[in-house]
Amino acid sequence: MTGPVLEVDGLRKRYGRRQAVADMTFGIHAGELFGFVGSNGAGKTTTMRIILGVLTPDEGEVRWRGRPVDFAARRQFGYMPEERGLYPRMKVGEHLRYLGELHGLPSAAARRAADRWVERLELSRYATEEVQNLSLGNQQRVQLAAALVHDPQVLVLDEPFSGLDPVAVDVMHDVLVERAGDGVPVMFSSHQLSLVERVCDRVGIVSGGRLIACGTIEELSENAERRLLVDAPEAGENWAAGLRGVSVVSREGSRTRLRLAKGADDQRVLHAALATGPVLAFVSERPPLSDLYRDLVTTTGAHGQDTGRTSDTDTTAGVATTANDTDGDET
Amino acid sequence: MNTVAPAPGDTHGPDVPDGERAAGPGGDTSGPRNGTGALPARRAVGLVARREINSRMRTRSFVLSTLGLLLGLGVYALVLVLAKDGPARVGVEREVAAMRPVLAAVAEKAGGDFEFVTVDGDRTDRMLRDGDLSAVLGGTDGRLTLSVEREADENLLGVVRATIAEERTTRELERAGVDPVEFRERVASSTVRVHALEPSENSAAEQFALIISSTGLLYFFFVFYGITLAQGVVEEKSSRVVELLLSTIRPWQLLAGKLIGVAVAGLTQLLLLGGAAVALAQGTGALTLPSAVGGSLVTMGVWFLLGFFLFAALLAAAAARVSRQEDLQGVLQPVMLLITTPFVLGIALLSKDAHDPLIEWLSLVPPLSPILMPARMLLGTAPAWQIALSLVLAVAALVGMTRVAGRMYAGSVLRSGSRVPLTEALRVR
Repeated sequence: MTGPVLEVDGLRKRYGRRQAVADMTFGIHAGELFGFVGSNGAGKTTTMRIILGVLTPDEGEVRWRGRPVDFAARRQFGYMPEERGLYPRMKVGEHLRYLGELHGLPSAAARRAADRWVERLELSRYATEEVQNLSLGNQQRVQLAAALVHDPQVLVLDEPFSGLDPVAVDVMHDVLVERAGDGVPVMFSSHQLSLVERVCDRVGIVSGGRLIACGTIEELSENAERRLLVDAPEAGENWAAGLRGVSVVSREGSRTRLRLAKGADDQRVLHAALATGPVLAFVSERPPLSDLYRDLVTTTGAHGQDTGRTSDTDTTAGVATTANDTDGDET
Repeated sequence: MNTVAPAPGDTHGPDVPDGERAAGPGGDTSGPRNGTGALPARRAVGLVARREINSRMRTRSFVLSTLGLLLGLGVYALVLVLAKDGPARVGVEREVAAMRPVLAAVAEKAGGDFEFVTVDGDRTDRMLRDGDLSAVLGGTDGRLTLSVEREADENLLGVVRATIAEERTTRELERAGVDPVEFRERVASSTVRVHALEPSENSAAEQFALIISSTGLLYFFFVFYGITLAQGVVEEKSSRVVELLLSTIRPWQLLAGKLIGVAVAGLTQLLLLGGAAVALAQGTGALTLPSAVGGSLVTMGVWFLLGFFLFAALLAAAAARVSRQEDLQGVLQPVMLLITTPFVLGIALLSKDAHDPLIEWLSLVPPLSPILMPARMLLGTAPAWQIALSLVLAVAALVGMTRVAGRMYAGSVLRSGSRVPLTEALRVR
């Protein structure tokens, strides 16, 4: 496998006293859909702005095809800012042409590209409308068209799916998959974890200005606690109590959901279950991304979001190991 | 998973989005160039300017404000024309009707446009109030009264005084046995020719009108278009479109394009209005403009551009510090003071004495010169070397100020949220 085409390397950015990004490092491969996940204020938007050159980092650099990204390279990036960023009183078609031209397209090519994306994103009816007269969802589509109009080689999208109806989500999704299919690395942030899980090849989880985990969903769940669903109708209330590294998440009738800390032996759980009587089901469940995320963020985020981060700089960018003792964190 | 060790020394690449450094084309062309290439700075600025012009001049408000101002000018001209129609009628009561021929002769000599009619003393008050008469001369030979509705016309008063003096002189001469006609001929033989170093072709009132119209017009345009530009900057910032723009062009290119675009829109309107005003002034004969009218329009245009870029760059830089239109007023105020001061000073000093040495000096230095100098030029009181000096100083200030403004703009335009402190906006990055 070839290395990542877009590399973010050791970015740091401080706003006054607040460390918005502290040592952000990750890479995105060609043709990959990369999901960028994290709580509000975790540093996602700042990182994306730095990638687009809208912000200058205090430290670190962004590389594209092995070279530090310069202005000419950024011209080939497509960007969708967090909040919609369009002139409210400009007409949709005109606006897209303008942005295409600003990205270096000749006028005729910009017109063709604008027309193409207007059609592709089902905006033909609104091409001569002012942006401000469109619904928020349609403005979002225009925003995506604005990011795509110059046929970018990299896509960086900040919350592209927020505020979209299901049909629009599908359109957006198709377009992103299509672009990735052309070998374009696509990076987007989102709070819709189920969507990220469904769409993305890899996921980066951000907390406190740094990447605390990064990988495919499988990779992330391997390193996280495993879940077991055991259906043992004759088991007593505390049948799993004595097992090391095992905690009960919930009980519904005869079904028990268990959480296994890393290294805990699922076979011992099976034995314990069998000891109570018949076992109707014994299923190893992959935790949903939302659970993985919650575990990672609560355990990592426990020691401060903003300051005092200099002491443990060596814990970056690996798949974070979850703490063993998370009993009290969830109810 | 790639874990790349951060390179501690490598903080600022050549990719710093810094307005100052962007001028060199070297950085733009070094990157990979497949598909969309680097955009030449001139095209970037041109594209921004074109959008700005389109979005300004195609708006209803531009058309309406132009029409409104033209209409205002038209009304003003109409008032001038109406006010001028016919000579002012002055009533002369029967008791002093003997003075009528002398009055008429003196008035004609003085260039006043008066018609003297004999009236009966009992109806004069009503005729004055109705506006049939602008003044009534009455009383007895020794004690004349000039009745008016409110204020006596200075010229008329002069005519009356001169007439009285004439009458007295004639009577005294006759009493002394001198033939008044012969005397007058002898007096007239020794004439004085007026040699004015700087001939004024306008009366005080006309000068005032010139000062008001030139400084006022420029002031209006600086303020109106400066604020338009500032609002545009905040609009881009509050709508976040600026993030999108600055990922593909440099801050200075955006600022320059906006300045040029708004200036073109403003200049178009200024020349339209200025041209209309000159045409009206010539047509109605209300004002005497210095010989080359076209030339003065051009100088107005040049000063408009200089002043506009100077003020607007500062206004744009100030506006870039805030993210909401509501906060705009606060940051614009200090800059507005720079525009208002020369306007107020100009009106106050110029209308008192256009040759005041203070105003001569003040009109040389920016930021006062863009408003004061055009007024002095229109009045014809500015020597060429002063005009040249003020232009040079204004251009120098423009170069310096746009640098500061450009840095402020680049330093604040991407920082949303609360107002960016001045020190941080100006900090060198």
